[in-house]
Amino acid sequence: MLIVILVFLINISVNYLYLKKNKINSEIKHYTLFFMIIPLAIYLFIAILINQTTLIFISNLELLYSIILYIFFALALIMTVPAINITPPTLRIILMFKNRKKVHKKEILKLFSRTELFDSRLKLLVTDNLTKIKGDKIYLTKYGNLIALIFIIYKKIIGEAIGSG
Amino acid sequence: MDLDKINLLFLIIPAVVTLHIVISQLNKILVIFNTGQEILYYLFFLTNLFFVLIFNLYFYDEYNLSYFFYFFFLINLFYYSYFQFYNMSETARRIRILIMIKTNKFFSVRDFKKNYNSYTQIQSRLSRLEKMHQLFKVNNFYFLKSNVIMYVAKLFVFVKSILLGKK
Repeated sequence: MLIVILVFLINISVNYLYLKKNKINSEIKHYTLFFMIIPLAIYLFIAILINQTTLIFISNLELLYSIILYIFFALALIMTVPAINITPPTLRIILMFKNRKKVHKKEILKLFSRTELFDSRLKLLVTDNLTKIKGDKIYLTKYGNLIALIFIIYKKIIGEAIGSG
Repeated sequence: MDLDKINLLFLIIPAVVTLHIVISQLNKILVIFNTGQEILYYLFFLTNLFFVLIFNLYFYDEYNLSYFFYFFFLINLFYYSYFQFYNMSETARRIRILIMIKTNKFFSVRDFKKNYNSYTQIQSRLSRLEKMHQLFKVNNFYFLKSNVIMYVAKLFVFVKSILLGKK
C-alpha cells in the first residue's frame, strides 16, 4: 500500500512539473494518459518481468491488489481535477462569505457572466472532442454521446431528474 | 496475501452503489432528504461504520492492520469518486450541456445562448445551498448558516494551489 501511495505522489509531482512548463489543451486526455495509461503500462511491464524472469520482488496477487488501489487513487484524482481547474460556482458563492456576514443576491448574480458560466464550457467540450460545431449547429461526437447516455441512464436508475447543471 | 475471505470486503463497493439506488428510490416516495448530496453525506458515515464493524467482528483476529488500511483507503477513495460522479450529474455544466444536446433541447449555438440563462443557474445553486442548510435568506440578503461548505471551499483552494500551482 505504501508503494502505491509513493508511486501516486511521484506521479503528482511529475504532473505538477509538467504543468508548470507545458500548457494542456484537453484535461481528459492529459489526466487519463498521465494517471491511468502510463502507470498501468508500467504495472503491465512489471507483471511481465515477474512472469518471464526469476526476479520476484512482488507476487502476482500483491501486484493485483496494488493495481486496484492505484486505479482508485487515480480515479479520485481524475474526478477532482475538472472540478478544481476552475473553482465551481457553488464554492465561489460560499467564498463570498469568507470575510462577510451577509451578501446581497444582486452581488452574487453579478459574480458570474454567461460567457464565463457556459461559453467557456462549450469551448472545452469541443477541445475534449465531446462536441463538434459546424456552422451554427452543435453535434455530439461518439464520446460525447456515450457520456450523455451514461448520465441519463444513471439518473433514471437512481430515480432523479436531470440535474440543473 | 492469499485469496481468501478478506476479499469479501471488495463487495462493499457494489453494495454502496446498490444502497444508494434503493435509498434514492425510496426518498422519491418518502421525501426524507432534501437533496441527493444529503443522502450521500449520511451514506458516507454509514459505509464507514459498517466497514469498521465488519472488520472488527469478522477479520480483526486473523488479519493485521495493513488490511484494514488497505480496504479503508479503497472504500473511501471509491466513495469519493462516486460522490464526485453524482455531483457531476447534478451540477456539472458540461454534463448538462451534453445531456441537453442528446435530448434535443438545443441544436445550435443560437439555441444554446437562448436557453442557457445564468440567472436560473445561479438561482438553482442558491436554492440548493438553502435546502442543504448552508445559507439562509432574509430580504434578498444571504447569510451563512453552516461552516461545512466554507471548510470544503477553503480546502479546495488549498488543494488547487498544491496540485495545479494556482489559486
